[in-house]
Amino acid sequence: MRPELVRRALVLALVCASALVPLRVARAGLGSLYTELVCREISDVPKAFDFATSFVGLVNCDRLCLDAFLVCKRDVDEAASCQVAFANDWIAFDSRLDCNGESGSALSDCKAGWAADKKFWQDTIKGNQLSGRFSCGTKLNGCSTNCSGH
Amino acid sequence: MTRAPLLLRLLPLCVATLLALVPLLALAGAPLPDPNDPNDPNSPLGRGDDIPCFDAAKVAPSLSLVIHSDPNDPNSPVTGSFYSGLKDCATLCKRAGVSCAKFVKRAVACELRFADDRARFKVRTNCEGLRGAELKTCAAESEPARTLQRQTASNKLTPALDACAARAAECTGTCNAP
Repeated sequence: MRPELVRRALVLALVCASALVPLRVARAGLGSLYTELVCREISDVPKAFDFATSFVGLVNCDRLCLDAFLVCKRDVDEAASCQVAFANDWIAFDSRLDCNGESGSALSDCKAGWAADKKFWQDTIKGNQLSGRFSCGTKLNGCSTNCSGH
Repeated sequence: MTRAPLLLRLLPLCVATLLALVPLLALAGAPLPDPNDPNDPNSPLGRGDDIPCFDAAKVAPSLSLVIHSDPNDPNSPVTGSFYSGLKDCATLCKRAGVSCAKFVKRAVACELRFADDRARFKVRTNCEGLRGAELKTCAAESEPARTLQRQTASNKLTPALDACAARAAECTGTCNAP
């Protein structure tokens, strides 16, 4: 089996596993740089926010809910940005190691395989980012509902 | 004036004072918030024991870089680096250290930012409607927790960066390993 197919299968397995448990990078590829993720899990970021009833009774309740949502969303985006940087570093080191000694079309194929992995990884992060933003939005809705006493 | 009428006149005042003390006495039984608790359990943004940031101290231990004689035991002897044999091994080890430092700085910056967020929301929540000196006094109550949280985050920076440098040096030292 071609190396890039093996890597793709590994990444696919990782993504499938992440649907069941929070995403933890577990040596997709060689893991020559890091053994695990050094950024906050995106899905964990909204869990650190719990402002559903914090502003009830205040004149600016709705505004405070919105601003708390924006902080939550910003931190989700920051975690996603961190993970993109992490993926770039991870792939850069592993591909350097994996493609060492290759030349010509074999080197091109090797690099193309890793580029595809990186794209797949980035897309996964984007998906998690959207999901994290949605969770922040759900918290905003709960907070705003409590403001109006419904 | 006789003694009895004076007591009668003071009776409503005494009752009012006692009634005002009831909630204070009830609060006395509850655990008081510790302004020096870096977890900040009273933050309007959320639970005190959870922040949306990665722990800077865990970045360097997550670096792989070296190969151990027993892959399942991180305390087993180091037999080489992942980049041993590559002509740019030392450069890769150095770059790994730079990557590590980058994520340490991100983690600390996140904690510093969140300390400011917590303090800002605490002021907006607890001091709503206040102006001038009253607002200043109220806002000052959030300052010790913010200062402590920022200090806690800042204190992580140097040891975490040193750990990154040490791991990178360890990596470089094994570049020529067989």
